[in-house]
Amino acid sequence: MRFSTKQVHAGQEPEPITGSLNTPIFQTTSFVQDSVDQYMNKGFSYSRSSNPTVEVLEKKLSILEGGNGATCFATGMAATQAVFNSLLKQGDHAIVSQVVYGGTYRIAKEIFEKFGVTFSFVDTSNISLIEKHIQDNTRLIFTESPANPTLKVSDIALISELCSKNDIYHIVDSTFMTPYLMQPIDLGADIVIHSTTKFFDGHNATTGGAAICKDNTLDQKVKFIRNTSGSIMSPFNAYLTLQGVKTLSLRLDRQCANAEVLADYLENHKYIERVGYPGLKSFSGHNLLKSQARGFGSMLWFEVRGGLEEGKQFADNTEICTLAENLGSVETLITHPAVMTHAYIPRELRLEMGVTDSLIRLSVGIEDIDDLLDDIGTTLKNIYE
Amino acid sequence: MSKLTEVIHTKKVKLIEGNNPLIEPIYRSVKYTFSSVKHSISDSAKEFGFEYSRDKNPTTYQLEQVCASLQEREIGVATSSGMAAIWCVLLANLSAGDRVVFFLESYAPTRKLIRDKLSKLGITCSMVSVYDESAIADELAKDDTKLIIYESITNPMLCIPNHAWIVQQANKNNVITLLDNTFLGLHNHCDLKVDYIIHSLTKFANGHGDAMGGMVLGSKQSMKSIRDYATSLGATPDPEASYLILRGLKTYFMRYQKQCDSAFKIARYFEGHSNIAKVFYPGLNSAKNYKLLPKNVDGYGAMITFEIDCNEEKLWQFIDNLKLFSTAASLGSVDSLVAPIKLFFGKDLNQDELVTSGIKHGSVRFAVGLEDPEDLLEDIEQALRLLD
Repeated sequence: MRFSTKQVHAGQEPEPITGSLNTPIFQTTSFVQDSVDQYMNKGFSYSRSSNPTVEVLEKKLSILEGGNGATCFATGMAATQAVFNSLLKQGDHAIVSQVVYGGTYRIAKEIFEKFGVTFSFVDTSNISLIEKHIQDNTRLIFTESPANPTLKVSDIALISELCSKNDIYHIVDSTFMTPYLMQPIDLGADIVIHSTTKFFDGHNATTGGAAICKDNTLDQKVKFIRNTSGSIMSPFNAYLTLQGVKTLSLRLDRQCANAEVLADYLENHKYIERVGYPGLKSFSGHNLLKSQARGFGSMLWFEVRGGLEEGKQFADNTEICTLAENLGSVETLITHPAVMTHAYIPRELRLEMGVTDSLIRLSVGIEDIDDLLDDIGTTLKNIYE
Repeated sequence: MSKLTEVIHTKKVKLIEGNNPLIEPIYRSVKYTFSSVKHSISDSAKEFGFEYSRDKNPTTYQLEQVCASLQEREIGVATSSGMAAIWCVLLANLSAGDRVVFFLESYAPTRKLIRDKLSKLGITCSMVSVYDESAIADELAKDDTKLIIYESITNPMLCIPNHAWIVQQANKNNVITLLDNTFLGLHNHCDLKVDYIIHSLTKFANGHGDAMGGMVLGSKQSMKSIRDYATSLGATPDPEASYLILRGLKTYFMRYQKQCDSAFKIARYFEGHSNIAKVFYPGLNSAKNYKLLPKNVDGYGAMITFEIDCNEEKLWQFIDNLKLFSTAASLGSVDSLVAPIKLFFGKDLNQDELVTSGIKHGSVRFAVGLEDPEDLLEDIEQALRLLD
C-alpha cells in the first residue's frame, strides 16, 4: 500500500457492531469487565492506560512511521518528557541538538538537570563533534532535524550508526518532516517524536504528541511512563487527529510547493537579507536532506533588511500570514522566535544557534500561492517604500 | 453571589483587544442575550443578531457565508442534511395545485420525496427522463408547473443534463429552478441562472465522513422565505457539525481535485477493460451529452458508474472482493466507497423505469476517495480477477 492509501486506511477497521466507517469517539473513562477472571480480556480497563479511539491513531502512526508501537500524549512536550523519563535516570547523560525547540531545551535544563541528568547541547550536523561529547554514561542522542527554527539538517542515518556502535538510543524529533517526507526509523533511529498538533492535525484544532518506537520493548517502556505520569491524549483529540492525518500528504504536497516558491521569491527580494529553506540549493543541508527525505517541508525563515524593529513590523502587518505560535497547519503562520518560541533560551546561546533578533519563521500553509506572494510583497513594500 | 448561583452564572472570559483565537470557537450556546429588550427588537439585532440556535447560530452562519461566497450567491441557509435543504425549498415555494417536474434519473431519496410525499400535499409531479427534451419542454410549458428540480450530474447513473437549455426553458415558462449541485462541488456552475442551488455538505464539503449538513443558496429575492421555513421545519445543523464542515472545507479544493484526477484515471482504465461492459464518467468523450457540459466546469467529479456484464449475485461478489472500497452510501469523502446501484438506488423503480434509467443487474457506482489511484486500480483488478 502506498502512503496516501495508508494514511486513509492503516490501523482502521469499520467498527464491528454498527459498521461505522469512521472510528467512534470512545468517550468513556471505564471499561466494564465480564468477570474478575476475564479482567482485561477485551484489552481495555481505564482510559488513562489505553482507549480504543486513541489506540487506532497509535496504530496508524506506527504504520506510517514504520515502527512497532506508538504512544499518544496530550502534547508533543508530554511525548518528549515521557521518552526522557523512560530512558534517563540520575547520573545519565544525553546529547541534544543545539538548535532545538525551546520547550525541549527547557525541560532538559529546568526539570531533568534538577534530578541529576546532564545534557550536552551539540551541533548535531557535525558528526565528529557529537562523537567528542559521547561519555560512558551517555544514554541517548536527541536529534531535531530540520531544527526549529534554523532548519539545520542533521544526518539521521549517520547519527543512528554512531548510536548503535556506542549502544545508545537515537531519538529523532521529526515534527517538521512527518513520515510522508522522512522516516527516521528506516534510517536507523530508535524512537521518533512528533507534536501531532502540527502537520498531523493540520487544522489548528488540537494539541497532541506521539512517540513511535522501533521495537516493542521500548514502546512498552514509554507506555508505562504515560500510564504513570498520566499525560494522555483525549479520545476526542485522537479522533480529530485521526481525521486530520487522512489529508496529510495532500496538505504537505501543497505546503512544500508553496514554500519552495516563497523561498525563491524571498531569496531574490531586495528587502530580504537572508533566507533559509532546505529546498534552496544555497542551503547548507540541501543535499543531505534530499538524500534522506522525499521533500523539504513547509518551514522557512528569513531576515528582513534592518533588524529587530523591521522584523516586528513585518510580522505585525501581514494580512493572510497570521501571527501565531503554531506550525504545520493549513493557514500560513508567522512567528518571531527570539520573542516567542525561543524566548527561554539565553540570548548568547540563541545567537550562537543562529536565531538572530530579526529572524522571522514562516510556516507555509495551503493558501493560493499568489495570495501569499501578494501579502508578503505588499507588506515589504509598505515597510520600506 | 452564592456559590450555587456562581456555577450557573460563571464569569465571562474576556479576550483582550487584538488577542483572538485563530479558529473561531464552536458556539454551543442555544440562546443569545441582548443588553435590553429594546436592543433585541432593534433593526441591527434583527439583521445581525443571534437569538436562538434554531434560527441562526454564529458557527453555522460562518459556514453559510463561506458557502455563499464559493457558489457566488448572496445568501446561504444551512440545514441538517441535503434532503432537508431540498424539502425546505420545495415547501417554501409550492402550494397545493402546483406541479413539480423532476427526473427519473435523479437521486432515489429525492425521487421518493417528490413522488410519495408531495402528492399527499396536493402537488402534482411529472417524472421525465433527463434525455427526453420534448417531454421536458411539454411539462415545463404546463400552466400549473411551478418548479423543476435537477442534478448537475445525476446520481447514480451520471447523466449530463442539458443545463443551459433546461434553465432557458424554465425561465421562459416562469418555472423556479432548483439545482442539486452536490456532485460537482461547491465551486462549479456559479454562472448558471438558477433560482436555488442546494448541496449536501455531507459530501465534498465535509469530506471526512463525519458530519451531515445541507445548504440552500440563492439571491436575496429567492431566499426571502427560506430561513423562515428552515426555522419552522427545525432542520438546522448542530454547531458541532457546522464546525466539522468548516474544518473540512479548508482542504476542499485539494481533495476535490485529487479525487477527480483519480476518478478520471480509473474511468480511462475501465474504458479499455475487457471485464467492463460500459463506463459512465462525465469527463470521458464517450459520455452522452459530454459536449453539453459547461466549458468552465472545473473537474468532472469523483463518481464513476460502470457496468459488469453479470447477474446481481456476481456483482455483489465483485463488491465483496474489493478491499479498499467500503460498501456504503454517501460519497465525496476521503475513503473510497462502492454501491450496488440496483439494490441501493433502484428499489422504487419498475422494470420500464429501470430500463430507461439504464440500471442493470451489473451496474455499480464508485465514489473515489483520496487513496493512491494505483492502489485503487490494483484492488479493482484483483477483485475482477476473482470473478473469473
